[in-house]
Parts: sequence; C-alpha cells; structure tokens
Amino acid sequence: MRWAWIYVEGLRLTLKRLAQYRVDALAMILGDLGYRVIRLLVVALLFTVTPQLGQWGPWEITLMWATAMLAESVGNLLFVFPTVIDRYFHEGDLDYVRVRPAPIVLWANTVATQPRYVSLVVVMLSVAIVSAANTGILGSAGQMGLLAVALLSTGLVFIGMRLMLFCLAAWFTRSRVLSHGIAAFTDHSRYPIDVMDQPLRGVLTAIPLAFTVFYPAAFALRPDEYLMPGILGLPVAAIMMAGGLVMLRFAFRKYQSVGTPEMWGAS
Amino acid sequence: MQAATLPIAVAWSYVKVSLARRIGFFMSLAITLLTTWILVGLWAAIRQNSVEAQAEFTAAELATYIVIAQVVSLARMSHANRQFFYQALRHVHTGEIAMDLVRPIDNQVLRYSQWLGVFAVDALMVAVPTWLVFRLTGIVGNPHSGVQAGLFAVSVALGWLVAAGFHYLLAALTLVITQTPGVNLMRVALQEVLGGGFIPLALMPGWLATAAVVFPFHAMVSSPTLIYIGHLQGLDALAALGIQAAWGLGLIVGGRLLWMQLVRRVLVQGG
Repeated sequence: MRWAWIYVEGLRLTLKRLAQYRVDALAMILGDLGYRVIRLLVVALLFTVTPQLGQWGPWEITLMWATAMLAESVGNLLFVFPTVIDRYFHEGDLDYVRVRPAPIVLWANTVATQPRYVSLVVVMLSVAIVSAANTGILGSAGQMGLLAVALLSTGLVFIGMRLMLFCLAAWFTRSRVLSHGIAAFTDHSRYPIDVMDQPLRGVLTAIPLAFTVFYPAAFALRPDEYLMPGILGLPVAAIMMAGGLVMLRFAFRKYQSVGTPEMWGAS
Repeated sequence: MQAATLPIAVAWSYVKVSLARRIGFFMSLAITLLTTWILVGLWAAIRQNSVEAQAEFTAAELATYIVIAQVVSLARMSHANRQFFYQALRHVHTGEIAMDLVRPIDNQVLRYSQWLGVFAVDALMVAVPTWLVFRLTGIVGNPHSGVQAGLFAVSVALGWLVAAGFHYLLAALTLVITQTPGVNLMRVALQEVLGGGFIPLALMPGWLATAAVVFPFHAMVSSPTLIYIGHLQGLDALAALGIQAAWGLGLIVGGRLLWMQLVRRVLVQGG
C-alpha cells in the first residue's frame, strides 16, 4: 500500500515536471505518434502496389502491426524500466535509487514514464479494433480471446528482450546502440514471415521477433493454421521474461557504482 | 591556412573516435544486413502480385534497387545518425554549446566536418560490407555501366550533403525545443518513405510521388539508387545530380540562416 502511494506520488511529480514544458511534451507526443502513423501508412502504400501479400490482406497486416505496437506501448506505459536501466549503470545512479523506499522497478517507472505512451496506447488500440472489425474477428469471442493471449505473449516477449538488451549496459558502455538498432529493425520485421525465404524465417523465429508480430496475430486470425506457433508464444514469453530477470540479477551483481569513463568527461 | 585545415582535423578526429567505438557500427551492419534481407524477400513477394512493379522493374532490378537503397540510406538508425543529432541536443542541455561557439571554427563547418568523419566510417563499416555481402550472394548486380558507377559515386556524395544539411536544420531546432527526439523519429520515418528507400517513388501513388519530389529526401536515396540501376542515365542523371546539388546548397544557406536566428535566443546555463 505504501509502495502504491509512492508510485502514484512519483507519477504525479513526473507529470507536473512534464507539464512545465508543454510545447516540448507536445512535440514528443506528435513526433512519436507521427512516426508510428507513417509506419502504418507504409503498410497502406504497399497495398496500392499489390492486392495482397502472400495469403494476407491489408487489414490482416494492419492488425499484425497494431497488435505489436499496442503490446509495445502498453509495455512502455507499465514497464518502461528496462529502457532506462542502462542510464543508471552508466551514471552510477543506481546507488540512490536502491536506497529509495520503493522497489527500483517502480521508482524507475515513475521518473521515466511519458504522456506519449498513453497517446500511443489509445491510437494503437483504436487501430487494432478497426482492423479486427475489418478482418471479421471482432464478432468472434473465441478469436478475440486468442488476440488477447497474443497481446499478452507479445508484450512479455518485448519486455524480456528489452531487459536482456539493456542489462548488457552492466558489461558494455554502449548497450544503447543495440537497443536503437533493434527497435528500428523490429519495425521492418512486422510483415508475414511466410512470404520470406526459409533461412530468414528461421532467423526471425530464433531471435524471436516472429513471436512479437507474426505468430501471435496469425494465431488470432487463422487459429486452425497457426495453433501451434500461437500456443508456443506463451512459453517463449516465459523464457524471455525469465532470461531478462536472470540478466537483471547478474547486472545488479556486476554493478560497481562507479559509472563509466564517459560520464567522468573522459570520452 | 588554419581555416582550411581545421575541418579536416575535426573530420579525422571523428573518424578515430568512431573507429574506437566499433561496436555501434558492427551492430548497425548486422541490422542493415537483416533489414535488407527482409526487404528483398518482401518486395519479391509484392512483385509477384503487382502488375505495376513487374512493368517498372525486372526481378533483378528490384532486388538491386532495394539493396542499394539500404546501402546508401542515410536514414538508418545507426550510430552515425544518432550521434550527430543527440550531441547537438546534449550540448544545448548541458551548456557545452558555449564551448562550440568560441571554437576557432564556424559552427556549421564544425558540424558538417564531424558528420563527414562519422559518415566515412559508416560507409566503410556498414555500407560497403552490406553491398559486398549482397554482391557476393548474387542478389545485387554491378552498376549499369562504368559511367553510371562514376555518376553514382557523385550522387552518393551529394546525397550526403543533403542529409547533412537536413540534420543541421534539426540540430538548430535543439536550440529552442528540448524534446526534439520526437522530431527526429519523424525525420527517420519521412526520410525512409519519401526518400524512396522503402517504396520506389515510381511505385507510389501519383500524388505521393509528386509530394515526395517537393521534399529533399529523394535526393538522399532515390537519386543515387536509380543512377546505380541505370533508370537515370545521360541528361536525366545529370539533372538529378543538379537537383541534389541545389538541395545541398539550399540547405546550407537555410541552415545557416536558421542557426543565426535561433542562436541569439540561447542562454548558456545548461540544465
């Protein structure tokens, strides 16, 4: 209960700070939203060139994108911690975060959360509902249930992947190069992998980016065809989360409270 | 004499710094290779069902287009792209911009020189290896001819000039707003779409292709790529180079004017 109060108070202070820079916050919201919307427009543009991509139509692919972006946005909103942990490692700031009267994860969430995550959740949820309606699965309780499972597994895989990537900051000074690159690459992997060659399908399944986009959405859209990869999404999500938490544990042990030479001005 | 050698010294120092931080470029190379692989597969699937794509490009031309567009793409989320932008942002936030302003080198020349050094390493460690991998696997062909290869090299250099000019505009914006990362994200998306790197301009709906020509992004990616595959030859290629040069020079002038206006509002206090 005490943690809940601290969490709410931390959120209130963060929002108060952001409200002091209204134009900046608005620029960030519009910039981020614009980026996602342009990505979705690219999908629409592709379908001005071709009537379908493999066996998939425009609304099905829009649903794949929207599901992935919605899961990512909810993950950022509720659990932005992985994306800021490298800063704590590099600047040696984990010390004072560790002695605060709330768990590190909660505290980091309160100071790093941003209004743009809320706007992204709203927009992507709307896009997901519209595309679900146009693919005909909105009226099917069973398929919508599968979509909810897909969202859950996608979100957990995202969080697990991010934890693993950002915890590398405890060993390398430049882990952010991984995260930025992976984020950009993730956008390009949000297409049906069954139109790609076999080795590439293997790579995307192993990474496992295919479990953040294609398999979960295909599971909800065509459960008969993609039942097994869809079900596998949950154990994959559990493995990724477990891997992320193990990495976090090792990263905390590795942390030496000294920051990096770059932070001392030696770069 | 010093004015002439300073930009070279700055560019060289950024080559050395970039080489010291190789991991960023190795990651960028791995991601560019995977992204290009995905896009080649995606466009092969699109072409199968697209009359327009079949009419505009042979299968080999389309694969070459996609690979070369990624090779010359200055939009990739590489270390080079981010460093240029975030460094300007950090200097404003921390007050380090005061040091930039008293350095014995013009701010615009300083930024272009830094960007040149990082771009050279990006080209060496990401662009050329990506081209080599897809060339050796036979997915991408050679330039259409020797002349086209020469024109392609000039076009890539001019594309860099346009990209550097656009980045400088964004760097100038960091003087007035703190949350420019949102603007930078938009820049990446617009550059990818309107640059023709993701969808060839010839396959875009007419209104969008027309709109794309109004923006400078096509001069960064589409022009060099079309020259490489031989879709722009002779006078058409020279005209494309002229447009690239005009954008490059226009952005130098525009960036300079914007900087001069905005830098007057800077209060060097950091924070």
